Amino acid sequence: MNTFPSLPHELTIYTVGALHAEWRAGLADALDPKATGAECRVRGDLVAEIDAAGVQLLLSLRRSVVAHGGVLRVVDPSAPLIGACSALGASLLLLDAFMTETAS
Amino acid sequence: MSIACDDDSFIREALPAFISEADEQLSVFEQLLLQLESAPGDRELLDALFRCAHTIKGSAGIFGLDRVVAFAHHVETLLDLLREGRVDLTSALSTLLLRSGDQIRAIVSESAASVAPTHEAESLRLELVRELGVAAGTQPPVAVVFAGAGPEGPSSPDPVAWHVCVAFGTETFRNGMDPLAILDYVRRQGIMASLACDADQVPGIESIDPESCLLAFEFKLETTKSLADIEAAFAFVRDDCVLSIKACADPAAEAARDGASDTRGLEAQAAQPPQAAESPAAARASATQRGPADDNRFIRVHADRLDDVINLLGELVIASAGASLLAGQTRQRPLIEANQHVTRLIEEIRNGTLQLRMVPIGETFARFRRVVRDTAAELGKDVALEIVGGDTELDKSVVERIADPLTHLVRNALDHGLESPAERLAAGKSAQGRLTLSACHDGGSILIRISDDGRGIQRDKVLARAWERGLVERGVVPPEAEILRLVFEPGFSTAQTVTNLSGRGVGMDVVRRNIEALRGTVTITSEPGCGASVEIRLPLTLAIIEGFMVSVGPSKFIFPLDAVIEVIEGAQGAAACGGAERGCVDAHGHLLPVVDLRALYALDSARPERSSIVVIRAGGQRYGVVVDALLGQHQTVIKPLGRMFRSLRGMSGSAILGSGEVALIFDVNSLGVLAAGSAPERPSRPALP
Repeated sequence: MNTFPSLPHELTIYTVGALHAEWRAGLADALDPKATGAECRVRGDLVAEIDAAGVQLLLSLRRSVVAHGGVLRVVDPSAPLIGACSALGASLLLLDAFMTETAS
Repeated sequence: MSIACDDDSFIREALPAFISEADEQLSVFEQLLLQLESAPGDRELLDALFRCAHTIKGSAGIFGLDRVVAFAHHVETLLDLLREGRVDLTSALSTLLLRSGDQIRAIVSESAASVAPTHEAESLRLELVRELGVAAGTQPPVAVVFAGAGPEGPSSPDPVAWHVCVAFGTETFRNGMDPLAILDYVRRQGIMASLACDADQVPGIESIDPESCLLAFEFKLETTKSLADIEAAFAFVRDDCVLSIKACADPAAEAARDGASDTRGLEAQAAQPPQAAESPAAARASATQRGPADDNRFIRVHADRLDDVINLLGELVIASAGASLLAGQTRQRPLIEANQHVTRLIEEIRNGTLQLRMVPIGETFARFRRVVRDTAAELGKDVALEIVGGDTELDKSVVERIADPLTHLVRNALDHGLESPAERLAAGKSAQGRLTLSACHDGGSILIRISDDGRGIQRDKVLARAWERGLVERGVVPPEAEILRLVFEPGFSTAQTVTNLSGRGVGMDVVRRNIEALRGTVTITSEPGCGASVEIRLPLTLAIIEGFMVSVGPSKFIFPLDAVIEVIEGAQGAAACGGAERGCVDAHGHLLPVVDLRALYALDSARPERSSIVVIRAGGQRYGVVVDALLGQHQTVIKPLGRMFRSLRGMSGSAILGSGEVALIFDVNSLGVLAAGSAPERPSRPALP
């Protein structure tokens, strides 16, 4: 299991540029190419502000993780994060988190 | 936009833009209505009128201005019936719609200022709603739905299910729009179901541009709102998204299948869109094929920012002139040539930048259609307004400041100049009077005329009133032009009755003052029984002019280059004046009145042996100005005259030269008056270095 840095307090159009550069650089470290099916965990409890640009960046991260044969698990999502994903029909981002919680 | 800060900050930031756009839409609404009065069945005009009301309503809805939405809905309903041909546009109906437009403007203002409407305003609004209901053939509504009082907007008895696909454009985020906020708004319009986010276009983190929006959505919406209302929710991204809204074939079955209030994504992702609807991906692809619709793209720039650029440009022109002067003194050809190139570029930038401020005067003229319509109706007159040269452009700041004087002149013509139909028929004229507003460029200035075919100015009454008020010594009869000029004197009015439109004698002097403050002039001509014409001459811009510089002794003066038609070098101009302020010379076989600046302004410098004459054309007349030397063309940034020099006749401003010297800029029209010798007082002496 790999742990990605926690999602920040603000995940909006104003922060996605910097976050994108950070995540792109950290992706190689977070994913072990030898471990197919690796789980990439990212904590979402700090997210207080989020907009569609932030959700889109999460979708992009998920696509990369899946492309590497991994699974992105957003752990402990905050209420704004759940609300935004739900309101944009992107709840699949959080499904793995709920599944993890249920399993544990 | 974020969940935490809700929509408040978005609304706060974008509300001024909405108010400005609503104002523009309402002006268009008014113009379209007035055009429709001449062409009542014009389908295109009716469609445009409906779109206008609909856009205002839709935008207001996004901002939560529920009172605007509620009132505009009644207008929209009536316009829809007009479009369908179920109601005819009569004059009374047109008046009702014009009043409704005024009412929307008032509600927008109240909402923007967060001001509660007064009891009178409420009553008027309710009365208008009742009248709109009567005109539409519906039951008069009991009350308008206000914010917080219940569900807003129109409602149909049965909810309708819609299938909505929207692919947001790549610029959506960068334009400050957030699909999350838009979908939230849509959600509040009914029951959203089967929401699916299509993220197929979103690439991995390695290649995404995080600020480009690549999201598309599909959902069902069951609502009592109309298709137009749903579309209106996307108004702010309409130019940068692909939107498809289609009615579901069987709303009940669709709702039963999808589950009424479920917005969870997983189920939504699995739901199949109806065959009839275009999928977001397909919609995005077709949008890409169409290419950007950039034929008519505009950006909205705050006027202050443009003014700042123009002010800086003025400084740049002055600095460039200084650099040219220094370059010339070095006598180094490469430096001089490089400087000339820079000067040419600055000139191009100057022209381009000033062009940004130029707007057609037609927009201002068009406002008078309503003024003429309403005022003529109030006075029981039949008047046709003709607009000529509406595409003539002039500086925005001039346009803004000329609107009030024009309004007064138009109302004056309607009130005093044009006769009632009965009076016109008795005078052998057609029952309908004609008022013409025209504009054209003329010799570096803009000429605006307000002319009518009414009774004209009654010269005898003007003179009698002037004697009575002591403006002219009793028994003295000045020339025709001077008699007519008396109407611009303070407190002058020949009206027998004071109406709420004019006749109080306040206004015409203010009109003249306002026009003169713009470096303009106003003259009036009249022919008894045939009409009167007021002619306003204004500078094209208040910022920079192309000047022609001359000197008298050490003093520098600048003429607007457009006004200079000829220079006669080494002429015996001074001799023509014989040391007096004015004289005449023979120019190409015609007598040319000349004015001697040295004598006119009592300049102390020694007179040279030979002087030159600059021939000026202004206000339809030609005259010469005797000067010592001709210094050539000069880009002139106009600086206003200081308080001390405001009373200086013949001058309109000052300019700082590259050398740091100050030059005075002539107002060629008032200098022409001085040259003609009709100035009542001697000009004061300019205090120049």
